[in-house]
Amino acid sequence: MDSLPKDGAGPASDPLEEFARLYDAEMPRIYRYICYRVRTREEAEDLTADVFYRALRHWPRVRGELRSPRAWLFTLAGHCLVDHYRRVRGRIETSIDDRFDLGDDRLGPEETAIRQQELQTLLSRLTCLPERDRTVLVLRFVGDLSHEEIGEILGISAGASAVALLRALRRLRRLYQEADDG
Amino acid sequence: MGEHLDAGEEKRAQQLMAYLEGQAGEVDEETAALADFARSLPWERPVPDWEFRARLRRELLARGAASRVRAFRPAWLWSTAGALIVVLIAALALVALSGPRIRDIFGVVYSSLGGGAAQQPAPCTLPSEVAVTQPPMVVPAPTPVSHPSPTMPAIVLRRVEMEVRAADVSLAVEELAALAGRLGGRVVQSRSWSTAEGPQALVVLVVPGASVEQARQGVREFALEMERESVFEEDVTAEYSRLLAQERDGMTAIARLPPSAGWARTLGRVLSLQADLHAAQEQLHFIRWQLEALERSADSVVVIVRLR
Repeated sequence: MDSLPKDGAGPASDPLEEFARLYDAEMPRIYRYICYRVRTREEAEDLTADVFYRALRHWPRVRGELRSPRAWLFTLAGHCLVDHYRRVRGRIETSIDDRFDLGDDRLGPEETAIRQQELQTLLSRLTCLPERDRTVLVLRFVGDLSHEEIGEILGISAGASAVALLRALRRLRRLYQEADDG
Repeated sequence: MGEHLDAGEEKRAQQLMAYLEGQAGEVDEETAALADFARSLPWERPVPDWEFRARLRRELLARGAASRVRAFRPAWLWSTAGALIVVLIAALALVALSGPRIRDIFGVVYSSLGGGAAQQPAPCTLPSEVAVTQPPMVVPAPTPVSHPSPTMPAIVLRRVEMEVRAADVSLAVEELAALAGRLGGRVVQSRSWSTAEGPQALVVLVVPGASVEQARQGVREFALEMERESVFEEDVTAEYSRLLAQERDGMTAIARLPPSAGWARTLGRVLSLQADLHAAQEQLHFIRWQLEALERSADSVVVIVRLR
């Protein structure tokens, strides 16, 4: 998102209205990203709220200078996560609780269990990866961010972000293969 | 970044991205395998709770509005106003406590300005109070759970589960996709995996309710053996009625909101009203979305086929 979402009437001039539109557009994405990095739905909700309160505080000052408000929000989310990990002393858990509404579809219990197992495996493998790999993978496949945006968040070029993703995928695949072989 | 970027690696990364995004192009075997691996991962997308989302929005806007109102009242303005008030009170006290001489001087000045007799000042009359009318606070009534009307047709969700032994699992997956297409439905999920017993697959189709028997027949035709076949029904008429009642209440609540925020005297209140309106509209939108989802689901049937 290089500019704020527009409703056809041009960009909003009111900062609070702009912020509300930014919230509407980006909140689910930020929440999704955070869900992959914390243990419970409550933590995900608390951290999402933290991100937007921080954003609101800085918004009047930075809103005219941002190249990508979305990338900025994800950067704030990263800071909130670092603070959070410090508080919980780096504990990262891979259990799946109700933050992933896996039972909320028309699949039977067996299929839900399969999906749960697969997601559990993915989360476990992600925790074995370096922090940078994990971040790139989740930003790309869960946050749906472009490489330009990922690059901006990580302070690297779009090309470097693409290469980082390639390498992270290789490492993740290797983990799956090793588990299969072992 | 710390990682060395060579041209070949960067090119491969670009090819991977293009391949993942479905753009045609030549890729080497490793890149294709990597892309397929990435696609096969279960990247679930959790959705924030609706109430949490709306509540946080309201709180953020209220806080934003409050901080803006504060910004409109800078400290220097308060200190100047405070100083003026102190000076005024001191002047009044001086006039009241001093002898008639000072009062006479004030009276002369008043008369010279055309104010009439200084000795008999007009009785002080307070301006009548400005009536501030405020519309009643809109508090949406709790949603009553209405019971389905006897005239409302039952809304029933149906699901068919079949476990089938097929001669060729991958061929059967293709046949299921073709069957869904023929019946005007679609494949919503398709997964294949290998086990010690051989390949297995799970295919989930959604077909129009009227075609469910044809779908079941179609599956039976290519099955070597039908290991299990079950039909599940869930009556959601009560849920549908409850949502209808919520929709009605939501519309009433929106209609009760003031047509304009002109009566609100502070910017914070105006923005808070706008936030209330927006939240009510979003809530209504969400309720309607649920109603539509139920209607769509009632019109179609989910067929889950497990292939061995």
